[in-house]
Amino acid sequence: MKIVFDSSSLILLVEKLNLRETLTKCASSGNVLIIPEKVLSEFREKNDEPGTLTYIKQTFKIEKIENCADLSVFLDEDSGEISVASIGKALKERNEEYLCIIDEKYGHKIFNSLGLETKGTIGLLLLLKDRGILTNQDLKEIRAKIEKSDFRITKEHLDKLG
Amino acid sequence: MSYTEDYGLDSFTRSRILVLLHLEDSRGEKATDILRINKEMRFFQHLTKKTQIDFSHFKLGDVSDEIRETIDDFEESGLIEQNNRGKYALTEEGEEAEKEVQRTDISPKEKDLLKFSKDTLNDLSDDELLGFMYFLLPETAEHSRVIDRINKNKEKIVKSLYEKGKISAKTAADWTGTTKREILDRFGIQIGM
Repeated sequence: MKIVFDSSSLILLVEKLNLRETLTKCASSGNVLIIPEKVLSEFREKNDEPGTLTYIKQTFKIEKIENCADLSVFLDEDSGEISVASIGKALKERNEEYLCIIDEKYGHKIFNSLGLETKGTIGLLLLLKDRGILTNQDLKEIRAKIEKSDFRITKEHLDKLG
Repeated sequence: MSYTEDYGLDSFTRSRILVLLHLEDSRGEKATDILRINKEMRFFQHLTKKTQIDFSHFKLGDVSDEIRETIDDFEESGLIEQNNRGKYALTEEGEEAEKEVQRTDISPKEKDLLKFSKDTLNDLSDDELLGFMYFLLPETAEHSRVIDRINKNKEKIVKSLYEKGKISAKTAADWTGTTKREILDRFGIQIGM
């Protein structure tokens, strides 16, 4: 499956929750992890640490894509979201198995209305558990990390982690 | 005879207002007030990048005489009625007329954009509504009598719009003169399903 990440989920997984090993496992299990160039530049606004950049380049496929003009009614033309949606739309049109990961409420709503296969980070973590990449214990540890953080998450979503 | 002929629904403004009043907002509510009808039609016009309706920069931002006249006329004709909270809703006859408009006069894309406009704006507080419009279209605040209050509370309004999923972090960043990454740190990263 091709999994396309928006910047907030990349920040969460790579930087805040430090799930680098999990993402590496995910990539080596036949999945292709994709980030658009714009998402990488949004990520690098506050994290330009060479080790992190090397990790990202080794784990993710960095894609340059021309944004779909018709998406600009709803998504900012100079944003990572529109690049993620454009890649998702292209994959959908090619009937490829794909998933867009976007956490922001606004983006999630727009992606769903565009008919794109979409999940937030919690949805992705649950999918990785279903596929044997994460265990129940891993999810509990991630939950504990999230609870200690200032991330904005509903209790209902948090409870899904067990 | 048809509703279109009887009520002049071949007019762009009249037909779109009728459809707007038929659509449910994000809470499932159809009724709305005159301020929101003006702002939702103005946002719709911005989304379509067309200028069929004349708006004037007034005390609460852009409003249209044509919209005011249409609402008065629809009320007089019995297509809409005002409830005790000052909100307008279609009557049974209004709903029938709207069905005819949807069959004949409005494209699915236009309907989607009207729905998007109502979903975005209809459930906002007055300050969030005005802030959204002023930050999106700054020229519409030219004669606003509340712009100072809105600007004073800009950070709070933008944060609330972001938290409610009305705008993206990128838009929040543009409106507050910072970067998306800074907004994610300042407002908190939203984690979803």
